[in-house]
Amino acid sequence: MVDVTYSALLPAVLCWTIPVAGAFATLGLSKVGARARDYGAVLTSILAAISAASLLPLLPSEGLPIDIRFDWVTLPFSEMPLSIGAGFLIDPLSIILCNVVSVIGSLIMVYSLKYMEGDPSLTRYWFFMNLFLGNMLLLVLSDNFVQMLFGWEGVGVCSYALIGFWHSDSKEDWLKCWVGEGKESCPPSHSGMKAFIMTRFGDVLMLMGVFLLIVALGTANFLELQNGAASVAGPYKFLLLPAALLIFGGAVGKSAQLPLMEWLPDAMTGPTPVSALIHAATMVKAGVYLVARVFPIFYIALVADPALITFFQVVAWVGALTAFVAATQATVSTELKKVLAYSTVSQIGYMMLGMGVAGTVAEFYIGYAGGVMHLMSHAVFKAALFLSAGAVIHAVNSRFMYHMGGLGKKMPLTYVAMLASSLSLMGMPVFFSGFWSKDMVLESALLAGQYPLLMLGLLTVSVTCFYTVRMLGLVFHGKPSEHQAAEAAAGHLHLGDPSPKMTVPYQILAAATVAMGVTGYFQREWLVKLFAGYYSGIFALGHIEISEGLMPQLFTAALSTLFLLAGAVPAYLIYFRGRTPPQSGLLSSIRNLLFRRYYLNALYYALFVNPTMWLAERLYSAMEVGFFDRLNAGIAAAARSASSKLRKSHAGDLNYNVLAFAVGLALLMLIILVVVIW
Amino acid sequence: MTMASSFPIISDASMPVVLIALLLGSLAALLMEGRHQRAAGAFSTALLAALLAATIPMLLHTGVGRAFPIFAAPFVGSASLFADGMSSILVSTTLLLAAAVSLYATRGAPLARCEGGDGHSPKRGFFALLLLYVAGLVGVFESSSLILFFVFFELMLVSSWLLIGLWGSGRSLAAGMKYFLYTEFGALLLLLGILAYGGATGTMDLLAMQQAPEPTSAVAVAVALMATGVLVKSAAFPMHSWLPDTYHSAPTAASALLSYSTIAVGGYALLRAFQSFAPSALGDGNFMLILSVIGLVNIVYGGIIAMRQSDMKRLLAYSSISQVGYMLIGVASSTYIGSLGVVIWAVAHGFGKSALFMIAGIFREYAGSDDLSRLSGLAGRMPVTSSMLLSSFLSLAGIPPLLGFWGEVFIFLGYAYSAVGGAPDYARLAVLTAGVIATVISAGYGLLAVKRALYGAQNDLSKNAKDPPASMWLPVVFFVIALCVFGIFPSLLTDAFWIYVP
Repeated sequence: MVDVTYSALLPAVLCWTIPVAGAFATLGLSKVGARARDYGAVLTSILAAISAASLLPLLPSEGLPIDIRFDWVTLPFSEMPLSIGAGFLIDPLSIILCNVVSVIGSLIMVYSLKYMEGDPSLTRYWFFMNLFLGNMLLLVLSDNFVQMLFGWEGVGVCSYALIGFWHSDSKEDWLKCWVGEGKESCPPSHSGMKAFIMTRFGDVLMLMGVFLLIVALGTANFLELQNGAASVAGPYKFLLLPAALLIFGGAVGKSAQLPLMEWLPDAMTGPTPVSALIHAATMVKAGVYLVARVFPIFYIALVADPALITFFQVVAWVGALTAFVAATQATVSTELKKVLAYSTVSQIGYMMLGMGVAGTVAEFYIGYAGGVMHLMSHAVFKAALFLSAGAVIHAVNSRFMYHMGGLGKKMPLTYVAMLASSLSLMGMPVFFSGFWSKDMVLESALLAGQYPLLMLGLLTVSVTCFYTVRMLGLVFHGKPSEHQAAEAAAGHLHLGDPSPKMTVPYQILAAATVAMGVTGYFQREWLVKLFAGYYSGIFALGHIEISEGLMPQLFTAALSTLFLLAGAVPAYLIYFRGRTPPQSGLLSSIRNLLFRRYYLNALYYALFVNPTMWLAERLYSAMEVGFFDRLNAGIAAAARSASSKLRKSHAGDLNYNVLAFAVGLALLMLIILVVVIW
Repeated sequence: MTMASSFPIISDASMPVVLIALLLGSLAALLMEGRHQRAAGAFSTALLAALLAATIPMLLHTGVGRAFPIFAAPFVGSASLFADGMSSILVSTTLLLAAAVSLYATRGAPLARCEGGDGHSPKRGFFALLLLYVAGLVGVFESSSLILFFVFFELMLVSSWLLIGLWGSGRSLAAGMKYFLYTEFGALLLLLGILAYGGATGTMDLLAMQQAPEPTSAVAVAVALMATGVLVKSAAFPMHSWLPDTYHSAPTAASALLSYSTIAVGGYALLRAFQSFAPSALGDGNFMLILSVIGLVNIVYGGIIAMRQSDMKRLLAYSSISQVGYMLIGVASSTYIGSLGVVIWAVAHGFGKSALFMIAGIFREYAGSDDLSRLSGLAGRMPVTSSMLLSSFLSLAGIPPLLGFWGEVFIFLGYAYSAVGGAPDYARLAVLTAGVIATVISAGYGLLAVKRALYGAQNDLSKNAKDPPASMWLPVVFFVIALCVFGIFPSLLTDAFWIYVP
């Protein structure tokens, strides 16, 4: 342990308490004045970013991990000795994550100042935005599962409240705050609930996994779990794999991976800064973080139970399949934000792929660092994409891309920012961060010899480039839509770049993605060294010789560039040059399949939602009203009729009474005789 | 079992004082009520708050058992007032809930009479009966002897029956009668079990026992009878059908306390029977498995029906049926953690459900209806009430930082330990899996109700809705804050918890 003073650790606590306290301060400040409230909220998030940044100096240190612990719940009489501590874990992963979250979060908060201006419910908005940040920071800094769940569910509640922020579901704002078209369109309040219930389903699986893990290893603390994983007691060994898979279920829900991905595209009903926050900084990154957090536990446990390799394979396959499936859906989406939403699902898939592949090989650090690096670079370019998309939607008063078109000349600043971040998303070589991070994930699949996964990843590159170029073409090129003319005639249109409060945040982010691209190679080397060095201590491997040649890197780069062109060129020809795309029956049915989201969404309604509602009706009418009410009424009626019949015998007629008395006496004597004789 | 039984037992005269104060207070309230309804309400609130304050030291210092002998008579044996950690927590919670409920009813005291609208309610007696009901609850949690337990159990039943029947709304007389008949039926089974237990072991007083009784089949039958009686009181499926009508018709104050007692008294009685009186029953895996399957049925059945209920009080009733299921699973875990979870669950349910019943009352009065199909878009009009509605439902669904989370975690953790802590028990594992997954249902009906009442466009009713005056929302906010505080500092409860074993 290096000598670390307490004041150096304070930021780990301040980092999440400041936004949480700030959220409640907003309620008070709203009574003071609108400006105090708005700027107070933004200031809070900036302070959180500063606290996070002050953890950075700890980073290359040999003294990590540092676990600051407090007593929380101790159960001395329990049959399984258990104490759940509160505490904060400072290690490379949590330091990187809390910086990504808070820095990008505070840029989004600045952007919100202008974007949300004039909304009547701003107090609620700031409250939940800060609470969202605070909970996410609590999540990444917690040193044990139980405390992490506080942040985890807190993030869920805040996303519910913010996705459904415009909860009056106004039909007039249909073009701006609903999502989907036709049968699958849904209002904000519905999307919010869908997001919560669907992620909650993943959460309870995770809860189950956590229970199993606690029973098996007797602790919820991450470091203690790591230490105990290799020597788990024999009878509990079989619990590890189910626990791992169930915990991954939580990550699948939060990060919108297959098969629980359906909530995220519909979450686009929230205000655009909320979407940016969910996709870039909070919420969906939580799942990737979780996998990265439990990675060492189960990697070490491979010693005790080699079957755990299945866990890593499942992570990799779920990631790769999700990446491909979500990307294909983005190619036919008509809504700007929804393209970005599918794209997030797809990119998160890459991160999962990296993490999963990493667990199957000895050179875990390439995939692991690749996953983390892609998380960072995606956070930056996706935030830039969403914020500039928000500016576009604000300008044309519609979320549909067919209401856009030809905006490149009218909104040059926005176009440049969106172009730079789109190129990063596509993985355009060398100058864009997405290139380095995505290639690192692909390279890890190559090095692990997982060729099917590599192929899926490469195909996804093509599809990604296709939908990105399509999006740019539809929004910024071509002719302005009729919608714009109609809006202009009605005087609602403010085409042009918005005020600096909005443009500056996404300009900064777009510049950052280029800067990260230019320094990509060094960033990559730094991350590999960082994680290889850090985990070699944890895994007790001694010094790791980092074995990576230049050849695999170059080979991956060549492959990915090839697939990039294969996707980008056709899209360029169709959406920039105006070539007519090929038409055929097959293509249009594929298009329909993709547009209906592979019918997965419809399937969920048909399998879960509608039957539950039907059952609720039927159980109530058949069981409660039909059976139990009747039963009760029947018992009452039987009692009443018995009473009325018996009443006849109590007529007060002396003759009958004497007779009955005599019969009763005889019976009594008979009983006594029987008992005595027996 | 490693339930700590090594705590010393001290004599404590404060317990009878609390009970006598409640009984005398009830009389005083009765005398005041004819003329000064509000004064009677204020008096009962103040009395309950003062008694709560008096029991706080008990909660803070639970490292000892407390006992105060009441009587010793031929045939029924001896009986004491007795409190261990579990009792202390439940007694304080009871008084806290009752004080808040009484404050709420004071505000709506004229309402307590006209809530039904058909004017059949008597002029006096509401607060007197409320205090009697509280006395019954406190007595139930503090009886060392099964006979004494039964006496208080009956006091509770009769006073709550009268509260429901006379001050309720709609067909409350019929609903009250149904409640009384069902729970009395349960009480008689309980009595049968108690007498059988006395016959089998020779004593019904926990403190008179030198050690846990021998596990004979007579003891098993007695405990099974007791448990069955308690299951009726706890509305376990299929003996639940008294509950929806009762909650629907009962006055708000009574439904709040009633929903607490459904889980608290049920959970307490089962834990007391299984942990203190007949630890041998815990070894019977099949019995516990059946109990947990009943619990699972309750969770799913009540929860699913709750989803489509329009009447908010009825929805809360079915939600209670669902919540009872968690309690049963916690009891069936036969573990320390599971038992702790049951007590925490009872407290969390008491706070959360009371808040929700009060909100239903607020909706009725300040939004014109508590029918969810008639409400819409209230979030914009009633921000305080709306936030509290969402928070309370989240606690029911076990979402941190609200206390319900810990209840759920401990209950299922205990059950998980009972399933895989030793040799894996696959039947239990299946119940565990289904139970954990079924918690999604709680979030489902809660958020669905929130969506129907709070979101969407405003209609004629919601345009005129507004938050009630502070005296009415204060108890609700208090409960939600309490749920948060206990949720963040669960050791306030976990440190106080232990169960006495002879």
